Amino acid sequence: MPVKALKATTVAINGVKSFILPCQKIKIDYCNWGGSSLGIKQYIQSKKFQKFAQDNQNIQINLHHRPGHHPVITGYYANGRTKPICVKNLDLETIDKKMDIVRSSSGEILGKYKHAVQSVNESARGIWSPLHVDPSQRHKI
Amino acid sequence: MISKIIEKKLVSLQLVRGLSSSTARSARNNAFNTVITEEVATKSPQLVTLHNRLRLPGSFKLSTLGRCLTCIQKDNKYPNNVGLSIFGKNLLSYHATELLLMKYPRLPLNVLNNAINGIIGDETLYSIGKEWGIQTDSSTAVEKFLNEEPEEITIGRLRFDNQNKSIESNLTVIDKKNTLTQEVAMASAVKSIVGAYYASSKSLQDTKKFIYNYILTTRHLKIQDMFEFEQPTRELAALCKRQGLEQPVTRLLSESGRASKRPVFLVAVFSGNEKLGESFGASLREAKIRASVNALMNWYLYSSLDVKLPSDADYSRETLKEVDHGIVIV
Repeated sequence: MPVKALKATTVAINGVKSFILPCQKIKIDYCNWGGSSLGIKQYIQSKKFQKFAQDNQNIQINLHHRPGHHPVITGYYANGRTKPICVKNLDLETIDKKMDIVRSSSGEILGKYKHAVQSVNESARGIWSPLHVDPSQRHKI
Repeated sequence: MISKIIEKKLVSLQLVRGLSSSTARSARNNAFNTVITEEVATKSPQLVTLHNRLRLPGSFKLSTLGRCLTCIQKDNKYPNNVGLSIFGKNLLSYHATELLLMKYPRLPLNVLNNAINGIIGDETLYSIGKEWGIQTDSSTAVEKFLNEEPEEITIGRLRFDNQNKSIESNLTVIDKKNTLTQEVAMASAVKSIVGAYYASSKSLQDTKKFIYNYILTTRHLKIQDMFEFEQPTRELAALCKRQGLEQPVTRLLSESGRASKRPVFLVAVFSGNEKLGESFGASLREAKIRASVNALMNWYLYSSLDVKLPSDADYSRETLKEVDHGIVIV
């Protein structure tokens, strides 16, 4: 029987040759009446926000008037997840940092990496094998 | 009759090339009343961000991008992406086939077909489209009217007649007549962006670069996982006979814990003094089969170090080193 072919699909390795920012959209909820939205209203009118929008033209930014609620910055990511950050009572500088967090995030759940390197490629050196050691040095069972 | 054929050809040409002349086309063919204008497209946040995300050139107009997101639809007022999508598919399949054939000249035909499907199949292009941030339009015409959705928001989304319509929660109607699945629609949008890239940049080298940077090289395919051998030892023996090599002999290189619960045997296949493949197994038989599979993989997945593609500028037929003799039939 000749070789049979199995199905497989490619896996994305974002960053090789081209990089597409995982953050696709940022939605900013604010309230015109509530005191907790004071900082976000200042931020929206500030030059910092203008610069942010100018520097990140690959991110869609939606301003959403949501009366009677605390202000929230929500990031929408390529993996389908969202990252909402509440910015109630925060000042202009802190909100700018929060925007940076939303922009730079990959959208993955925060977790600890067990290994320093993660790769889809096989290791170039191969896995160490006890069977390939010099027979005089080899451990005998 | 001839004039009709010429007119048809002109229309198909315009589908591929002339996006600016689509007004002339719609005047002739009343199927589409409106064309996405550059003025409206510039206001669309989705189109502008997608354009920036893919670093598309300035010659790639936003209205063209809007057209790429228009799939074939029942009540569609805009020109659709069918022509662009077919063109893009041809460009993609050319580059994917060329790359695989030149990189792995001995790849069996069925594995090659599956690998091409794995690289530019609808399933893959769907996930590429999602990573590019193409949003799908799920709202109905009534909802759009009630929400007073502006045109620029509508044209920034992928529009198609969905095969699975969710009427209420827990209730989905599957209508297979003249509809598309989300996967196929997204894939057609990705293909037509590739087609439109060539149509607007008019440079095959730039389009190739775009295809490699955003579809081929930026994704990883494990070709070694796509093989399945039924009788690897016999196949290897047949291969050696065909290539005029000595018959393969398996030899035990090393072992550990033969009498224990978990023995490991390291076995290699030799043809004369040449080692063809090597692997390990929990029994001598398993190790022998694995070693044969390894030897066959070494044969089929041969790849030369400097691969030159026919679409490269400095390609010449003399650089072609390997001509495949076909698969081994046992």
